[in-house]
Amino acid sequence: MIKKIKIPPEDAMRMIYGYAKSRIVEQAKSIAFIIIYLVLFQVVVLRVPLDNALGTAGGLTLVIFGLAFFLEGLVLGLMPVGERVGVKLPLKVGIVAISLFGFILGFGATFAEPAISALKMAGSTITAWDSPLLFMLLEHHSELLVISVGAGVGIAVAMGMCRFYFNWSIKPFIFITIPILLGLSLYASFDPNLNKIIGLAWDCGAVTTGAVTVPLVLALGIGVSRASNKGGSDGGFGIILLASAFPVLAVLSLGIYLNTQSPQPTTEKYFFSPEGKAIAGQVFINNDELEWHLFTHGTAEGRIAHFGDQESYEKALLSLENDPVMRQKYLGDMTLATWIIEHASAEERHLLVEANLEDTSVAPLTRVSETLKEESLAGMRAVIPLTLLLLLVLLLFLKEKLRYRDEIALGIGFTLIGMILLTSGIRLGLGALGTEVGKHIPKAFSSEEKFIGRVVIHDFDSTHLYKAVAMNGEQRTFFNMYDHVYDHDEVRAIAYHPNLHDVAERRYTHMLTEPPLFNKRYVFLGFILILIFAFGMGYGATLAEPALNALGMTVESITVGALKRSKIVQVVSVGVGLGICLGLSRILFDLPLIWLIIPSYVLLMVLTIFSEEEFTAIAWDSGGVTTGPVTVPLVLAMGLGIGGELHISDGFGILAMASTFPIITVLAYGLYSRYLQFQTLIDNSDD
Amino acid sequence: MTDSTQLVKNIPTASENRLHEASRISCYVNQHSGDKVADYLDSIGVTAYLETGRTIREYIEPKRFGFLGNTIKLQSNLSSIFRFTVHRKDAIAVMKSLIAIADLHTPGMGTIFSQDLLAYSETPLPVLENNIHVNRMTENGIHFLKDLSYVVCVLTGHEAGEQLAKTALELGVCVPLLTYGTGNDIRDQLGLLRITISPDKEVVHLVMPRQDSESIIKLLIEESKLDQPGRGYIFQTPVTLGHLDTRMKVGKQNHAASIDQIIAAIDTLKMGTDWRKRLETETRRKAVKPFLPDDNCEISVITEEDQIDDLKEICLTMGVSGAVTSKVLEIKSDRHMDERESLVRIEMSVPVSIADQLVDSLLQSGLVESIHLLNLPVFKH
Repeated sequence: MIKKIKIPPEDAMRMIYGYAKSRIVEQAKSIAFIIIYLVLFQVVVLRVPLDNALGTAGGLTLVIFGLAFFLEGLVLGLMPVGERVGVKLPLKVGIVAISLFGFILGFGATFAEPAISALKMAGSTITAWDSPLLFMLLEHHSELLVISVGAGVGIAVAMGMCRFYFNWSIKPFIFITIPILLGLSLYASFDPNLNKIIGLAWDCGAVTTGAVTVPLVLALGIGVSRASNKGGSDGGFGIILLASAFPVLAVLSLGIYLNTQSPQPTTEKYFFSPEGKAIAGQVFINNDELEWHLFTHGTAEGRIAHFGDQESYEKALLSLENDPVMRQKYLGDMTLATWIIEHASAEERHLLVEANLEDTSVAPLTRVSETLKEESLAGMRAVIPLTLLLLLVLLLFLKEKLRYRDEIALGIGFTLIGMILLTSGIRLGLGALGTEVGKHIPKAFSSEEKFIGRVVIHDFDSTHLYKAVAMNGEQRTFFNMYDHVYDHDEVRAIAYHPNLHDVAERRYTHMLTEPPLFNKRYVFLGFILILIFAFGMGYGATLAEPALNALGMTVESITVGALKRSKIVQVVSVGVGLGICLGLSRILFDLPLIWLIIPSYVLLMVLTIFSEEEFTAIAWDSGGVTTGPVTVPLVLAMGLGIGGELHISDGFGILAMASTFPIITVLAYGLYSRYLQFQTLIDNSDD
Repeated sequence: MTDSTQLVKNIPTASENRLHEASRISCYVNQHSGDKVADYLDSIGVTAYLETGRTIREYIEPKRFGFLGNTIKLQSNLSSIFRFTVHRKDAIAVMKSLIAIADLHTPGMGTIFSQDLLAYSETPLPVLENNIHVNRMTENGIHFLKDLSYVVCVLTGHEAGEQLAKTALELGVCVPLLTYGTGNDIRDQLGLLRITISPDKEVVHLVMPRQDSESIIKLLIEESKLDQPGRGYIFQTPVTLGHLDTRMKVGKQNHAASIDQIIAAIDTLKMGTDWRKRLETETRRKAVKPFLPDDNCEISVITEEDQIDDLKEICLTMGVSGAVTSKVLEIKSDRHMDERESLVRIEMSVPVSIADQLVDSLLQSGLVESIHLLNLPVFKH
């Protein structure tokens, strides 16, 4: 037995301090960029003060500790176990059993880290009349969606195992799978209903590979390939690519199948009118759900059509204010204030002039404890089953004894703690910050004033009203007002609306609005600003993405440091930044997603033809790992903020683009460095 | 300098039939030629162990925007490192064949060298006498350098290896090769506290003229502060014959041949590296006490990854302190799918006094596939 060395407590403390410090400083550096960027953007460019700065700072601290714990946990616990299973499995069982294990692992990983919540968030603004199939998939068939995505990932991992076992090249997989995907997407784009699910399908591919799955699958792949190939440096890579591609296939197929049972898109007016009841009945189970959707997603046009006559329409609106039961029925969890500010039309706002707009949100402390509780559950779900599966296979099935058992146990504990801290920190800190900015960013390109609330002016004197004449002779009534809190010298002319004026009570309800950032003529500046912002945010968020860092570490150790982790992370982050720009321009200019996907992937395939085998696998894998727990909430918050402002039906497509462009940048970088290497072998005799 | 084939006393009789006087050939080539080398070794029936490393060169490029002068960066190329043993009489022929196959004449393609040692292994060395693939002709002017030294530096700390490689390049020693490994030091004795110490080691391999080695090692020790505890260690072993990569600089070049090429040409003309003598002279070195202990020898072992723990225990009880473990792949033609193994190579530098005993206990444990004993001189710091 090896003798233990006793370390005095103070020396031990010093060792732990040095160890912990280096990890935490590293993570602090990795998220510094995105924090400073978001804060500066909000305060300097958008000129909005920071909301709840202390809470955000606390959340960010959690993120830093979470990332440090999580990555260290992967290195100590999960990755060694994964590699061990990969090394030992081929010794004991044949390829069929290995593939089966791969399938179970991939399938289980999808359930453990459900990306469905992110997808639901991306689809939270879609409307049942515009895209009934997409709506049904997300709302009523979400289990089916998860199962098909899981099956896709499972098959991908199984095929990846076969690839390592038989030492197949990755390129045929790419050249067979991708054209099929593009062909199916192209086919789908000609059907108005299927067209809407292209974004969902490609986003599914991007988000399914979570922060726990990626390192596990990488380690497993390294293990299986270690004793099998001739020492190529692509050992372990390629599964994540497949795990991103197969779910696209699965979701598109599911969509094509369900399309036969789904109604075609129609107009909002027709959908909610009595004539459209047949269609609505196919999408919604009962009338309550339909009315909830009408209020939370529809516009006044749909509401008028639904209630038939003006009287019952106004009655229903007023019941929002007076009847809590009806309010619950129509709005669900949404508060009336939020509904009035974000969903009501101007006329409806005027009708509900009595409603209280004070936000009765939950106290921050309950929010913290609730978030921690929820995220703890989610974290355990993500970490424990997968780890258990691996350990069971290793200990019971393969009958292996583990080296460094204490270390692995500690590592798994670290992963769990890290996951919980990270996701809670993102919800409380980084996500909150991102949502703040996302909420305000439409200001940059909007040319209209935005409604943000209202004040009631008591003792309103009608004699202050005056008339003004427009150049075409039209007359309107105005009154002068100044802001007694901020700029008390500046008097502004406010348009007078008679229906906001309660003459008997001498009360006037003034609608508060926020002016646009740019003058109408310079709206294009706003678009450029948003694209720059999107690039920086994508870049910064990806720097901190844990799965990408795990991939970077693996690449560095497999290439003996010839490819540095920092380099890979940089190249991938630039790619994500570019991808998010493009994905966002899809939302800004309402481009069809298919015309972004096809050219990008054709370019990718051309690059792949010229790329080396090992670089190809690394590049395609880095596409899959980019969209993780840090990037997804930030990107979706921004995409939805902008999409909502422009009345674009969904926020899909950004994530798909965000995982396509890193592949392009990594492949391009690979070709560039090969060009440099080529130079080392020839003398440049031309000078 | 003592002849490197000197035997260790009292070889255990039981293992005598497994003992071979052999030459270990180490060959590192650009990864693109790796497959060619593997196929060739396969075809002549040699079992080789493959490790991945990277060679580091200086990349010279003119300053941007037309500024005067050059910038020097480091550039890495992935390399495949093959190590295998053959009968001593076959060594030159196999090396010549490999030089032709991997095009090692061209500077920048790779390095090959042989070391005479004792090998203990179950499987006999390959019989190559009548193998048609082995080039026994003496044409094409391949001249091997003699009197070379193989210096291995095992370093702790991320990027410490690159730093040392840079120093070696600045000194114009050779093209450094860097590999990763895991250390085998007190880490295991710390309990769970061990996680605070990274087990990762960076190993830099250098091949240099023997007359310079001691002075260069001294410089390297100073440069990477190896004289402080916990930084790593360095040792050297003798090379019998070598053909070295001379391309230390790549990129912009102002002359028809680089200085490295000129040196290589003179080496060939002068049939050796004696003329390069610089730094400290032989006579001065004899006068002073040798800088490094010269009673160590290198023992390297190929084993299953699972056996590491038991081997470590043996090593620790014997008092071995410097050992580094790296993952290797076995290149073997008749291997079946389900007998794949995850192999590691452990390289130790041990005092001669315990070498005997250590080899004995390693053999008795039955845990190792093969042992290479490189007897003298191994300097260790």
